[in-house]
This record gives sequence, structure tokens and C-alpha cells, in this order.
Amino acid sequence: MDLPTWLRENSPASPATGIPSGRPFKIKRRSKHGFIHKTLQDIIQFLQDSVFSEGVAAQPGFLQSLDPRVKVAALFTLLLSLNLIRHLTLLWGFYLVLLVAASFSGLSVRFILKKVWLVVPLFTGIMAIPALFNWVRPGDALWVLWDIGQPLHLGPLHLPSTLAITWQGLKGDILLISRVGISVSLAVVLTLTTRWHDLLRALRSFFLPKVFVTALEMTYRYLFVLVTAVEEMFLARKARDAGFSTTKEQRRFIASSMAGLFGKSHQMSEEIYFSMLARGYTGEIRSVERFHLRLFDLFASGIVLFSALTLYAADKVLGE
Amino acid sequence: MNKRPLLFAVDNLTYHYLPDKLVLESVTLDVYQGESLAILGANGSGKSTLLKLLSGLIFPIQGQITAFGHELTENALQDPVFLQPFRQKVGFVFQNSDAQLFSATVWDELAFAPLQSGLSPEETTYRVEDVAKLLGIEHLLERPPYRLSGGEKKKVALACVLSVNPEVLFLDEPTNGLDPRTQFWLVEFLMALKQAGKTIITATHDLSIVEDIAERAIVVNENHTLAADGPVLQILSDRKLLLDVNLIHERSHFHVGASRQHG
Ligand SMILES: Nc1ncnc2c1ncn2[C@@H]1O[C@H](COP(=O)(O)OP(=O)(O)OP(=O)(O)O)[C@@H](O)[C@H]1O
Ligand SMILES: [Mg+2]
Repeated sequence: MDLPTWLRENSPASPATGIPSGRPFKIKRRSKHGFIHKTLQDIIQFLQDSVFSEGVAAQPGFLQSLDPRVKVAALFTLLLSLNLIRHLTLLWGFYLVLLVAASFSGLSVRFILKKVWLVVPLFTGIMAIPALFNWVRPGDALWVLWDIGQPLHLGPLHLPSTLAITWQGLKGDILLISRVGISVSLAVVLTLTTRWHDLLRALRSFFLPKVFVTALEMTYRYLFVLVTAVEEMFLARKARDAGFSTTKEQRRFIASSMAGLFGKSHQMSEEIYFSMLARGYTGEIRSVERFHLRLFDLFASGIVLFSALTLYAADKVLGE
Repeated sequence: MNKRPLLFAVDNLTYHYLPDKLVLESVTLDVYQGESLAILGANGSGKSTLLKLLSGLIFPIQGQITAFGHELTENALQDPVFLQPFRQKVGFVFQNSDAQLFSATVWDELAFAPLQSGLSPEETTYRVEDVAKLLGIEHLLERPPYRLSGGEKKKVALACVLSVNPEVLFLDEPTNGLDPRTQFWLVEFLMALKQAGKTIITATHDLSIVEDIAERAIVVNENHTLAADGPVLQILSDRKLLLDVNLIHERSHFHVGASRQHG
């Protein structure tokens, strides 16, 4: 085979692309942290995150060892009671117990705290802001922000003469944020200690239809394959990138790789379908229930039910 | 050999994915029970397509395929009385393991086909454990298939087809991505299945394994017709034929018996 001349010898360092020996490059540094680089990082981060959570779920531990069905039932029971009680001490007492159980099961408490409390106050808090003020929810003023001097009448709207943050509003908001945050933590702990497919199975044994669960399982599974494909595409580009591509070029690459990915996933869905057909799929999926309810699980369910009722009763006894 | 029952009869088969671009043309072929057949051909010659046609996943544009005495058509496969035993008897290991494996865990993967074929949960559990032990993948049972290495995936792909105990096994490039030791293991495994009387049809361009896993070979041309059909040694020693269909290069050193000498 005759190689063309240019391939037979090594390329001389061209003035534009040669790496000068003395001072470092400015342009190169900038594009290193370009669009592609960031996207690649995000993808790898996503992969690591999901590997991480599955890793914890696969470790031996107290919460991991419970039957997923028990855990799902416990989640719903506890959510119900948490959202009925109004005493902050009870709520936070429960939260403490939850964190202790989580750390006994090998979960990082810091991770849970970060995952929940950095996000929940932001979203719930913003929605709850109006309820702080006496114009929305009348109550005893805690801090007067603005005094107009006389009551305000805007058409059918009658507003008091001062705008103030109220005691009742503040308490209500703290209660709301606590409830939401603790409920979310409960769900986070459940998902961290239960493998994704066990969780889906458990949901199925309560109410989710089988087809739905199978579709979700396959979505998750192919999401993974596609993410890996994306990672490979980006790495392949990175390997050929000398560091001079502009943001515009990078954006064009992302667009065309998305189109490529679309084609890939289409072809893959066809192949999966063939593979299911070849193994006797006729539109109905049969599966074996592989959960075993042990005595310990029954015991745990008893404890959860008991605590939920106790929390509720304690809240009633403590009164307003 | 021809006294064995006829399993597949392919008569003047033509297929294309896109009109005007034939992928297989006038293919005629008989496969008997217990035979081991290799389908050879260069990249893109239509080997995978032929396997998909034989296993009733896609259907001929022209010509016909008879399987187990019934014509294989879309309509015939609508009938559960034909479909269920057909799917149980024919196993297909795909070229792309990622597409082959779609369940949440390896365990579910191995249980899929037996359950679809109507085995009870207890029998299925038993099968799954047996096949896993046979292929040495017990330690993978609880793992999700997409986090396995390429070779592990191939083993699982093979296991999930074997668990339903098919009589006919279609293998599409089974040695792709396997390290030499695993490749050797696979060849031995296929030889054992052959001894057990299974019919094995393998599409491959890995000539080094062909003489071990097949008694008979067919060669698909780059213009998508059958170029040859005969005993495997005869085909492998026909250097001119292999050159004509672009399976080997003028200067490649392939010769019959290579795998025995070096393996
Ligand atoms: N889904 C499809 N749509 C359109 N064309 C296709 C499709 N699948 C395969 N082809 C084309 O059909 C031809 C035969 O493909 P096939 O996969 O059967 O080849 P092959 O012999 O298995 O090749 P290889 O050795 O590379 O696996 C190829 O030219 C390919 O481009
Ligand atoms: Mg192929």
C-alpha cells in the first residue's frame, strides 16, 4: 500500500499550531475550559452521582436490608403523619432519628443535609414569602416594615395601614419549610438505600402497573447506555481538538452530536425490540417476585406504624 | 448428514432495507438438525440480516423461508401455537450485547425467556441458577447488565439465550470483544453444545475459530449473493474464494489449521 507523502513523514510544527517552548499560551488556556469541556465534566459527574447512590444502596446496612415494600409503605405512612403534625419539636425530633438511622446505614449525613437544605428553602421559601406579611395573612406584627399612616383601599381590597411580618406568618413558614424539607429527606434516604429497580418493583406491588415499571426500568437502563455513548463522542472529539475551536464550532458539534444520538437511540430501540421478540416477548411481560418478607421486616413495619401513630397522638396531646 | 430432519429451508430469498439497495439476493439454503454452520462474509455483506430473517424478526421481500415445516411469515408468527414453541426453540445472541440486554439485573435477564416461554417461577429460578453456574457468572446475578465489561456482557447475553434451552442457536459475531482466553472458552463451550446435538449457526469473519465451531460454511459475497456452500475445511482452504469475497487480504497469512497450531 502506498501512503501519500504527507502521511509518511511527521508534520513540521506549523506557525499557528506549534507549541512554543518559552511562554505559555493564552488562547489555549481559555478554550480548555470551553463549552465541550464543561459538558463532558457534567456528563461524568452525572455518571458518578448515579454510581455513587447505587453503591450505597448495595452496601450492607440497616436500612438497605429492609424489604423495599416495607420501605415504600413506611415512606407513605410517615409522610402522612409528618404532614399532619404541627409541633416543630416533634418534626425535628423525628428528623434526628432519621439522620441517626441513615448514618448507621453508612450514608453520609453531610450529603443528605446538602442535598435537601440547599434546595428546599429556596423553592418552598420563595413560595412561602407572601404568607409572612400581614396583608396576606393577618396576625400579630413582629416587625413593621412600612407605615403608610392610614388604611389603604384599592377597589374591593382593604389593607391595614402598616405592612409587617407577623408571628403567625413566620411560624407557619418555618413549619412549612420544615415539613417539606423533612419529607424530602425521607424520600432521599429511601432512594439512597434502595436500588432503583427494587424501588420500582416495590411500587409495582402497591399500585404502579407492570408495563409502566418495565418502561421506566428500560428508560433508566438506556439512559445509561446513551450517556456513555455521549461521553465517548465527546472524548473522541476532545482527542482530535487542538484547543482552537471557537464556541460557535463547539455549539455546532453539540447540535450535530445530538442528532447523531437521536439516530443511535432510534436504532437501538429497534434492536432491543428484536432482542425481546427473539426471546418470546408477545406484548406481555412476566416476572418473578423475588422479595422475601422476613420477620425483621414485619417488626420494622410495626415500629414505623407505631411511631407514626405516636407522633400524631403526641401532637394532639400537646395541643396548639 | 442429509438424513437428519430439515430445520430451515431458504428458497430464493431476497431482502433490502431501502429499495434499490439489495442486502441479500437469491439466497437458497437448507439447514439440518444438529448441523453447525458458519456464515462467512466481509463487513456489510448481509450476515446479520440473514440471521434476523432466519429467526423471524424480519421477513423476506421475495422468496420464502420454511422453519420446522412451517413457512415463516409475519402472519404465521401471529399465531401463538406456532410462535411460542418457535421462540423457545430458536435462540439469538446479537452482535451488540448492549441492545440484547434490556433487563434491570442479570437475574431478570436470564429469567426473561424462560418466563415468556411459560415456565413456572420455581423452574425459572432453578434454570437461572443453573445457567449462571454453567457460565461462571453467579457473582454478576444482582448487577445491572449495563455496568458489566464487554466480555461479561457477552457471557450474560449467551446465558440469557441458553436459559430457555433452545434447539437452534444463532450467534452473531460471538467472539467480538473477547480476550483470547475467553474466546477459547467460548469455542470449547460451543463444541460441547454441538456434541449435545444443538444446531449452531454462527455469523463471523473471525476465520480462526470457524473450523472449530462449524462443520459446514457458507460464504456471502460482497454483492450479497451466496458464493459458496460446503464443508468448512474445503471452503477455508479455497484461498481464491476467500480473496474474491474480500475476507482475507492477499498478504494475510491465514491458513487452515492455524488455530490448532497456535491455540
Ligand atoms: N437497519 C438498517 N437500515 C438500513 N440499512 C441497513 C440496516 N441494517 C443493515 N443495513 C445495511 O445492510 C447491509 C448488510 O448489513 P448486515 O448488518 O447484515 O451486514 P453484516 O454482514 O452483518 O456486516 P458486519 O460483518 O459488519 O456485521 C449493510 O450494507 C448495511 O449498511
Ligand atoms: Mg453483522
